[in-house]
Amino acid sequence: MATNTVPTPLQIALEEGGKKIRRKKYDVLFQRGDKAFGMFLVLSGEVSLDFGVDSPASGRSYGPGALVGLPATVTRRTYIKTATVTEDAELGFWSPEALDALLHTRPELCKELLAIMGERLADNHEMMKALLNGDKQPSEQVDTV
Amino acid sequence: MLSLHGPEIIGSCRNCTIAAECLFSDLSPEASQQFEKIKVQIAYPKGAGLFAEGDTPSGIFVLCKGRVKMSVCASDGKTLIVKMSEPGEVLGLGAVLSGKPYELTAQTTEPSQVNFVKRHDFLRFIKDHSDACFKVTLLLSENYRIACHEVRSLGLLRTADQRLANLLLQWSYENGEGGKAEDRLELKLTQEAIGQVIGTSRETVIRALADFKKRQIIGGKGSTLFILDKPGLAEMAAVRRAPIDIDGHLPPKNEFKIKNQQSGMFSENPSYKESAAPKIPVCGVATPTAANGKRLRLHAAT
Repeated sequence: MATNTVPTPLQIALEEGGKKIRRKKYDVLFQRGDKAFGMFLVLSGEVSLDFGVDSPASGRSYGPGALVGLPATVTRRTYIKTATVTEDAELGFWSPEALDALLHTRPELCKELLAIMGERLADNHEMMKALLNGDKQPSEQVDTV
Repeated sequence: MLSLHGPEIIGSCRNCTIAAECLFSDLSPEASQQFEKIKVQIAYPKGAGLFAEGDTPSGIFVLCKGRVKMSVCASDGKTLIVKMSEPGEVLGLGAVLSGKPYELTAQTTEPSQVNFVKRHDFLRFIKDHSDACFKVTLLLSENYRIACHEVRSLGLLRTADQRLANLLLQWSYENGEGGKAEDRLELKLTQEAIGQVIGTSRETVIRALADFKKRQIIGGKGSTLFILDKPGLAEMAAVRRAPIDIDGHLPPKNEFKIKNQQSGMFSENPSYKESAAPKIPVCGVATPTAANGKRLRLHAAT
């Protein structure tokens, strides 16, 4: 399971303020191409992210502390990937408006979000390079971003 | 004000004509004043390098005029253009924030003007000004989306034809208004640069464009192209999934490939189309059907 842990105090703020919801295994949270309606903080269970091409089983799983759907929610555009619950999960849901309000009232949290996005961006550039070098097999190419 | 390299350069961000696209255009008066103090204006000729992949991040570059090619280089020297940056964009942001080396190489493709801000000054600036910090978060999220798109294209679109079709569609949507595709495309890149965007050679781009024209998917001459058959182009750009049978099992790996009897090599079976594979519903529940529980079949939720 991949680690994509949200650092505190951002994690604390997101845990406390998010709307708690439960989703069962195999529930689809959102699909690639859907207009962003919010992001999810994984509180328990597992969520898989993939490009919506193959089965969710081939995606990368994210456990407690992971933020799912963050870039699309921040930019208010469409989701880049498909998110499927792979283990019964409790999630903290944040709509774009609620996230905006949180970041405007507590701007210091922006820096932590920046760190997460910076790390994800670096991972993607690494993946790009690996694909260009032909280091990755087709099956593992895209779902491990 | 004139630069050594010809075009007039923009003196202050307050008088800037690209204000609408620029991250630092509508900051608070205090933040604007601070930004004016920490930025350094630099004019570059065509072909100049702003930074190279692997360099220690010295700072961010806000592109005010001109165009900059952002690329990544493979171990065999093959270059992939990740993005052609336009005025208003901020270059080198990810590396400056993480403190890790620049992940991409930035090179001007025409005479350009940038505002350079040292890493230390920039980090202090976003720490002091929350409005700027929030805008940087937006920008980084957008950069991440672009990188994801590139990874998906490289990883899932297996042939150069697919990637070129995908790129032409992407450009047509970027040129169109209100989310609608524009049928007329003005190619701003050379065939070699297009090859670098989709990770292939100039020769392959020429062959693929000629093939698209022959099949009447596109038309036009020189740098002007017309998309004649948008559904056809979209079908070419579609990701081909491995077909899954009714029980959710995958067929033998090479069912959608053809084996060349002479060379023994496999190539993609052109008769296999994505429509043969089941579509994933917009909202749904994935249920396991295979005995090993690893392969899943999707159906629409009620």
